[in-house]
Amino acid sequence: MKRLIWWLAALGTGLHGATFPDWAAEAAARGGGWDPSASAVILANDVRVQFSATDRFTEHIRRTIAIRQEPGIRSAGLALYYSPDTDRVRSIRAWIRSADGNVTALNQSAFDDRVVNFNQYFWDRQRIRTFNRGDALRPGAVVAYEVEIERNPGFAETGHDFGGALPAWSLSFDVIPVPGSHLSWYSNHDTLPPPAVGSMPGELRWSVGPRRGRGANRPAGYQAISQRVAVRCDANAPLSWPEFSRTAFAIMEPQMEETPEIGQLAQSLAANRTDRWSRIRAVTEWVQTQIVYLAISIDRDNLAGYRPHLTREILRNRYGDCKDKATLLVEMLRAIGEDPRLVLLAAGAPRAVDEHWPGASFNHVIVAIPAAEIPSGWPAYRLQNRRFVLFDPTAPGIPLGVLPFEDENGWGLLLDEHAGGLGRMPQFSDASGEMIRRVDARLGAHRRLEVQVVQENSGIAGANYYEETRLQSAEQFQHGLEGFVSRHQTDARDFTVTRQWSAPDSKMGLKLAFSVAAYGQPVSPGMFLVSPAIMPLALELREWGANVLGTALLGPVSDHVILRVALPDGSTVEDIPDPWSESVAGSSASVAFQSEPHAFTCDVRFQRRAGDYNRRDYGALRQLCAHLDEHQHKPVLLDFPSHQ
Amino acid sequence: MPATPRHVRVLRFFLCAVALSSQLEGAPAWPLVTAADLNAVPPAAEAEAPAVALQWDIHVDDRDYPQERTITEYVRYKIFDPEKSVPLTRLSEFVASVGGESLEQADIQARVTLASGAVREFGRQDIQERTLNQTGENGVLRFFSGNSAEIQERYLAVGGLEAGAILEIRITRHTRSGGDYACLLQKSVPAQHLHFVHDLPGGFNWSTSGFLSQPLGITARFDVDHDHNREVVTADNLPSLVPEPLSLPAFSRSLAYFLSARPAHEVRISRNINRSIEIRSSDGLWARIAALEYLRVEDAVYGDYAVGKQASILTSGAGSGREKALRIHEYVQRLFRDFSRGNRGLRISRAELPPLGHVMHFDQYPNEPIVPNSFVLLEIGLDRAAGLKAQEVMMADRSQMEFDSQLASDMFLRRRAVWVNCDGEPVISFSATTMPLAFGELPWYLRGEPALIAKSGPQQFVGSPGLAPTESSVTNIVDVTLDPDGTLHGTGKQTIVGPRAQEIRAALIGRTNERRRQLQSRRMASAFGADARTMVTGMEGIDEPGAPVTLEFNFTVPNYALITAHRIIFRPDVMRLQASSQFAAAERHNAVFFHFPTDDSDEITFHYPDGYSLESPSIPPGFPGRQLRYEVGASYSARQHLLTYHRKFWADVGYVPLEFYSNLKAHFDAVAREDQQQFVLRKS
Repeated sequence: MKRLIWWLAALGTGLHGATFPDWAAEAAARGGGWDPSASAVILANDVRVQFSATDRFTEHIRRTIAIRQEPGIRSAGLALYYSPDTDRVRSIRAWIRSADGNVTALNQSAFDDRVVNFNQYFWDRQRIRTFNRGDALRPGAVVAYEVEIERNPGFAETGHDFGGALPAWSLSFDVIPVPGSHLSWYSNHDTLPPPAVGSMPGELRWSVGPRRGRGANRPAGYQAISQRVAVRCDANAPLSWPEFSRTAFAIMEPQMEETPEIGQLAQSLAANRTDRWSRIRAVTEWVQTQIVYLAISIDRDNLAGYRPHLTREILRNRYGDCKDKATLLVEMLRAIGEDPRLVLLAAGAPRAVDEHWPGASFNHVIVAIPAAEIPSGWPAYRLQNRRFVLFDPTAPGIPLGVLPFEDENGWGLLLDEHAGGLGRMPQFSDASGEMIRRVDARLGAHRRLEVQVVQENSGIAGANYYEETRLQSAEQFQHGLEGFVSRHQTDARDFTVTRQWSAPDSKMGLKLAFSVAAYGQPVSPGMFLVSPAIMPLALELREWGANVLGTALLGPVSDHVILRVALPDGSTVEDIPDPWSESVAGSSASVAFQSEPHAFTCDVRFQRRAGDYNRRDYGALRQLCAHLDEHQHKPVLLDFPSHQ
Repeated sequence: MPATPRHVRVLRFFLCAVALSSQLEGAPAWPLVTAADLNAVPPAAEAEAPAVALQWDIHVDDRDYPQERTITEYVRYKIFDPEKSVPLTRLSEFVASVGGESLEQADIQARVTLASGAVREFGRQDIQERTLNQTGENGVLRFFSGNSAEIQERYLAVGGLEAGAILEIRITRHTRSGGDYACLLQKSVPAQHLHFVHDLPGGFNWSTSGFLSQPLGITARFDVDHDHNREVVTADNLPSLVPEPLSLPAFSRSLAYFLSARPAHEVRISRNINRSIEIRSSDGLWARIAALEYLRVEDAVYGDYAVGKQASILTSGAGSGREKALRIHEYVQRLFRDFSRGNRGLRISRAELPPLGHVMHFDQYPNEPIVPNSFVLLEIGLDRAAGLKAQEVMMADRSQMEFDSQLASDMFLRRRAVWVNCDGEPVISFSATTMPLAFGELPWYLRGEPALIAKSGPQQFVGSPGLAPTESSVTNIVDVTLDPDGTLHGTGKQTIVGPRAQEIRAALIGRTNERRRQLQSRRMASAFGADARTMVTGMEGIDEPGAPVTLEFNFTVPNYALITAHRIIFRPDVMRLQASSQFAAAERHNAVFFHFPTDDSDEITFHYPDGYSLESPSIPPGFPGRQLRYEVGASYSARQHLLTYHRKFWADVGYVPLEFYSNLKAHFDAVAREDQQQFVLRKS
């Protein structure tokens, strides 16, 4: 009996001596030798989608992965995202074939089921099933997964990305339409081959492979090159952007209600302001700062993720996500006589939306305010003959007149019942901000240095600095500066710090004073070395890993540090570094030292072009940063006989 | 004792739920919010506090211990900054269930009173629920125990907050498991009034003791009401808890309450062995804890044929008891790593490995959770099957909580290890860790900490000596050449001993040699700057737990030195190019807690170009000291164009009280400054 119970228990978690599925064995036989240096390889990933209606389908996945080295075990799991309200996991299974040929079959008990988001900013019902039997995997093993899931996504589209972190031998994506309808499809990459026709009526099949993995160590602003195909089962004509705009409008507009509370609040905020943009600013600032971020999805239908809460509830709760904040703002602006629109976009992923394929590729909502004349330097959006000023109410620190860099460069869909459509977002607005730092230092007796710093960040540079630091207390803000300065001047002390933010002109001002107890270092009688890096530029740019394919989307930088160190009488500059400047890939940097009778100065400039960098240009830019950092740290030799 | 039948458990749960429901229906009314509350201001010392807890009441009801514990918490906050107070307004309570049976219940209520007097209440209708995590259904195992473990979240987002509002929160938790209890009595915001009440387990069957851990500078009152079997803590004007690097664990730097409850007179085995142990007060304060653990271990460790067979395979041909114990240690550690790797921190997944299954009685208790301590039991079982005398030890972990010998609670002894007698020499084997450790080797957080042997009779503590600086060293021996164009290139050897070697080993285990070299090359390169090219050419000791890790490397740093018309200026200690003080902030809130001592030394041989001579190098004076020491020295040969430079940093300090922070900072600042020392070569 004891043995029987033990056998049953073993059966519950895994059945030894099982048979490895033919499809997995075949994949292992065909692709086993691919990319032998990789820690794990996808031997085959076959996804088959069968539409049962134009807006629902069943997805059948078969994936086979070979594990070559121990770290590859981490990449050999399976993660299946789903919505419990609209999707149903019909079956999920796995098989492990060890290096010595033993096969273990695992049922759904080998997969945990948990929420995707667990933090104080998101509360929703999205779930993920993950393989929990990594302990049973060893180098030399092959693991195979088979999943069947029904999906009802709300938008009648399925898609597949052939890119991925692991190298792959064979990838396929197979789609079968509802009988009597046809498939329309779109591929965003030239290298993807056209589909082959399958055996079922209307069936299409894409096959790719072998291909390399994406690699580790991604650069700053990394944008993966996706090899994506999107497929729609159309009973009628293909969807257009204006149609999509109407659909989204129909989901969001009913949530916006004109209530007395909203109207009164908006009017009270705008009262006593006569200038139009000043009235609008009063309302935008209120929504930005008074509605704290919380994305909470309670509805359970397949449009729940797209639907904002009722505007009166948002006002009452004082929390919401981007669509909540945007819809409340629209309603409040309407109450003061404006006619704003919502704009959907893919924040941080400008290539996600393709103008040739109308679809639900958006992740963010902002507001467009009609303007016959766009104030100079403000973010503009044009659709047909209409012009709008764009404003993002989600980030509390980015004021009207400035747009977060993440929102730029892609496409935005203006929502309108009749005249919506897709328009270009602002593109790489280079001249939108700068930082100027003046460092005035005076060297006194016993090498004591008194330092005064006045810094002004304006435009997007000001807004970003404010956004990064606005939740810090005065103490935390000062600690951050103390940490930064003391990395370069360890004896820095007696800090006093003030900061000032002005939203209308997007300027963050900083005044900082400190002293350095013993500046520089004696090197011989009467001579000592001092570093001009009293408060230098911070210029780190992450490395771009060898196998990482993609681009790096970087925002503009315009930094200028003007340092002047006044020297006591009797001291002279003995040796000073040569000036240096360099320009690469549209960016430039320079360091210029100058000796004066009782002072030396150092002028450091860095201009980074905003753009979508390829590997070569990114490498050159990184090199430029390293060179600038090296030059801004070069010491100055002083003859300082009377103050040793 | 057989497991409780399922229908009885369901009925018990139902009754519990009904009881909870009736209790919640009769929840007390909200107290009156006064004008004084609405006019409250932050304490002067924390003028920027986003909120302040005006009143904080906690009531722990253990009168039905160990069947049920009820904790009721009420907090009244004054909100000054709603956005910075967001963490206070997202109320999330977890309810665990195993086999479909709920172990806990939680109820959340909140009320917001605006400065205008408008009031909004939040209750059951506002609570959202979702299942956070559920482990896979265990197939046939469902027949034994229903579905497997699940954690349900009850979530309430309090809305409508404005600056000046009063936020009140009332949370009631019922838990069906007893056990010791610990509670932090400070928050992330300041608290004006704290009132903590604990109704202790009743009757004569329980020996209970509550302790108050009171850090320096915090004043609290601890009253024991013997008539009502109740303990009360009150405190006013508690500052907020501030997280800072190198701080003591939260329970060691906060006002905290601990309860330890043990059977008063005897402890009785529950599962396999029917006997009991009498507890005598003369056996020591910790004897009760040791005895209870002893019975738990003896109850669980069960050697049968499968365990004996595995032990026999493992120890076959071993020449000594130590060799046997070492092989078992390595086996269990490897097994633990395999299990941990599978679950990535969520849980230890179930495996069908016969020895562990038999030790854990999977056949009788198929849903027994596998936790790190299960592997300790496995090791004991295998040791005993191999003829070794082995017992569990309960160890203090100073990364979690400081040990206090006067506060007898196993909360201070969270780690478990095996105390095994090897040919007369006792050795502590710590296997239940993903960090590869040699037999007898302990991680830094267990070194020098007491370990209580799980046994009956008089208490017995054992332990290991604290880490000496020489056991935690990094030695760099580097030979470099400086070219006239300022490029530096050279070779070096780094030898790492102790905790830092353990960390490197843990990060590299299971990786190919090529990948190991890549990772270590990157680590070394970060020390030389962005332009440097670094390659690790040799590695030793990675696969030998307990041994030093040795890395051989070469490197090139372009533009290392500053070239002027007449001089070359350079830093001699190439291993400290990125050195900066560990303590940048002038002010600090917490005492400093170093994890382990340090003995780091650099020996640099510097070949400089022909045609130059050193310009009066000034050698930093160094800072001698008993606990903190810094030495620098240099010598040079003008004829050979050779400079030799050495640096030694020595720190044998663990805890530094806050009043000595400025001295400590001054020392570390001075060391960082001296590490940036530059030398000047002048054209001859």
